[in-house]
Amino acid sequence: MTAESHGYGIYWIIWGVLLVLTFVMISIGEANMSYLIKGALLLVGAAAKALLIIFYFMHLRLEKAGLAVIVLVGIFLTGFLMFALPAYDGAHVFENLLYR
Amino acid sequence: MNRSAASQVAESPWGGGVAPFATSWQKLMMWIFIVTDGLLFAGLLVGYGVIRVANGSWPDQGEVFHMNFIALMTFTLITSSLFMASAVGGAQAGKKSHVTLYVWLTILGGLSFLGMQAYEWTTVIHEGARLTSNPWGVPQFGSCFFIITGFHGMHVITGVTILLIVAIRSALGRYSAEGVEIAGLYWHFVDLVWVFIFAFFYLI
Repeated sequence: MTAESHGYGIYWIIWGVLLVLTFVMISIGEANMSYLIKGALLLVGAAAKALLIIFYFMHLRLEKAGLAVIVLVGIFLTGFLMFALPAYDGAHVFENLLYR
Repeated sequence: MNRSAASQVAESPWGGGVAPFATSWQKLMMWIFIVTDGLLFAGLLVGYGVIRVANGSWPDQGEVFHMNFIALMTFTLITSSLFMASAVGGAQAGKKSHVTLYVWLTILGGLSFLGMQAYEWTTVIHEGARLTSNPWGVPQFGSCFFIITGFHGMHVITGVTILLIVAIRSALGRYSAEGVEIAGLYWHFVDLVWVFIFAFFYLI
């Protein structure tokens, strides 16, 4: 039973961290900085929240490593490529955004 | 699946004839569905990114949306995920009343989120936003908003429906710990998608 109450405690901690990350991301969103830095910070924040949800709420950390590889490579690598390929095409626009 | 059998499989290399990922096929299928569904939203967000970069200008979200309200929607969804995790924990410990209570709390969170989204949609529609035009800037802003948040909202409706079935079954004592866990996987995924929509559509 102690292991289970410890399990519930973890959920509350993750919940708190997710809320803090959300608050930090809102502050970054409202801050006055270049779109590129803002985008990079928000990407890191969103990825951190996603990994916390996947590993702790969805218990991927308790599954076999092969399943974690399927999920992480499937979503993150493919998702990254989907973003990266058109981003190259739009690079000339990013140059303008850089100094705003 | 029997817990000890699952851990046995988890510790051994796969030699065929056993579950390759030490999960039932139902849970494995949910994970694979989540990957493909995640790529659907990645596609929608990439489409939005291309449209936004190609246009060069984009409405200031702070002028269109009330960020405190969007933050409240995010809070509601994250909290409902906490309730769902709690329900899954209760199901694994075999506490029926705990499962029923927390699944209902999760449903309440989901319905609150849907209510807030309905309010948000109503507000922007009254302010003149349509699929093809809007008062704040490039016309694609409207289509991106309605399609991306609409797809997500549809997933929340599906999740609430699944959870209602789980809640009714658990009240009747006809639930399995794994059934609750699989429903929970889907619900957390809906929360996960909102994390990215929140970051890329509302914040940046």
